[in-house]
Amino acid sequence: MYKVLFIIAILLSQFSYSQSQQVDTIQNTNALRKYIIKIRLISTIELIKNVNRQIIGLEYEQKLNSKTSLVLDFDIGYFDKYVYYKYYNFFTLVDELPYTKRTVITKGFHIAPNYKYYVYNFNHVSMSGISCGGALDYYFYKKVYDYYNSRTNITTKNNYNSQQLSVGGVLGLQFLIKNRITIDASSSLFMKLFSSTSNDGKEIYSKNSFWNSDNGRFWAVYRIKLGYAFGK
Amino acid sequence: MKNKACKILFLIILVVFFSCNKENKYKMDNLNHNTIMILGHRGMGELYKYPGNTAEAILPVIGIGADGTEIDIQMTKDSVLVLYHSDLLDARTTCTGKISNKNWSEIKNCNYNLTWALVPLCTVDSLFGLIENLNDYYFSFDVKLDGDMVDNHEYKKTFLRAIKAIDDKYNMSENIIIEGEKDLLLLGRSLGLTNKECVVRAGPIEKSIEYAVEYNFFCVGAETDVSEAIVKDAHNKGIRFMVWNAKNSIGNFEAIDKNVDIIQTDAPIHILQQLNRYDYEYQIP
Repeated sequence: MYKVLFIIAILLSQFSYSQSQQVDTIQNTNALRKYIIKIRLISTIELIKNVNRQIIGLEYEQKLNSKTSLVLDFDIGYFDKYVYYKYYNFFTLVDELPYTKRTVITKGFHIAPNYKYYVYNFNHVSMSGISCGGALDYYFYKKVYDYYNSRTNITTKNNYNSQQLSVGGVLGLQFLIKNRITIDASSSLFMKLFSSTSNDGKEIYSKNSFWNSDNGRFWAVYRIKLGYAFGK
Repeated sequence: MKNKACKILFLIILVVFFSCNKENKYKMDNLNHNTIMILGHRGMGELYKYPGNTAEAILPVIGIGADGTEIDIQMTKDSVLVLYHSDLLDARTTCTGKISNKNWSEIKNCNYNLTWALVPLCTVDSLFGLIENLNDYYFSFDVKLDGDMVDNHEYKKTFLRAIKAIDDKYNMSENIIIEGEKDLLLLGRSLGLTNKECVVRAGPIEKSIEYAVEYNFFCVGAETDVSEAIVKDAHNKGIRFMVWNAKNSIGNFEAIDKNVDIIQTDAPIHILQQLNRYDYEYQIP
């Protein structure tokens, strides 16, 4: 047992020594960028799920020091945009199949500030490497339903808003290529703190996530972003 | 350099926006008012986590927007219709033997061989009892007869009467398609069944079409690799065409391209999404 503790102590001391060396090296480098603007790419998960979304996701990252940065993530657009037809009486001899048509649009935005700590910097370059951090996520959605029944020729409309504030953690991996272009892959897990809806609407679970728990209390977000680094 | 980066970002924004704009671009020409009837294959299809022919696989396919599903039907000794595909219970469940040799009470506690969930055998009666607005959905019964039955004719009649009992109980004769050989379908007709009849397993598909014309059957069935000309020939004779073995998106597209009337698909999510018939409100369990 003592041997194990001794080995852990040596490893920890080595790690903290190498970290302090690394910070020194980073601070001595002049050519480091201070800001990054990133755009979110469509994630493979979204492509596989074939979801109907039209979202633009942007992120701004600003270096605080060699190991930390502040990030503001923002996405806006149509989080749901689809038409759903349901046909009836397939085998009845009529001129046209009766159907119902539901048009659904959920538009809104997410704003997610987060604080990033680079656990490990690639090539001693700041804002490049493996990071972890904490994040808040506020989102607001407006959902609009348009429902048409061809049998009654009646259209009904309905809409409501849903907003939510949540807190979570982020794990990230960022590469800086030629001191200009960044590729950032990150994964976040959020927990709901507060939510509200209007017009007796149903709470809308996070729409920029690839996983939601059954009760919508937790969800996970997965993103790949392409960025442009600038400033010194 | 800044200009270049701006151009790249602009291009990405364009791609993101226009790649998501999915309009219904499929125009069909068939006897269902140019609309394909989408049935799941045994529910959500072969790749779904729950085994086919169970309520666990069938309720989701209805939930996501399919018009119904194909199911394999077998009959117990006491005339209960059970959803099951294989000849022997041993193949997929904790029980042994043939369904046709057992009473329902003997097999009602059989579960599928899964380590992570208890999924029991399901009867047509119990399944229909679970579905809201049942008469809005369609079911294609693939009748799995036990070829070893001694009195085959009487056994078939009992089987068909059990289907009629379900028809009558749930008022589903318009919504249940019976897949079977010519003789079985004609026997059903003689017993007063008014279901839609789909002739299958008649040898070459041309023979099925010939029977369908001769006996005024509602449709013929074949695999998705059937030619477009054959489908058109059936349509010209007033016969609807049902295909199965659409394992994935390629099979779905093949069926759409050939203007078939009914598809049994193992990839229901794909085809429903392509045709704007996927209900995104439904959460698949």
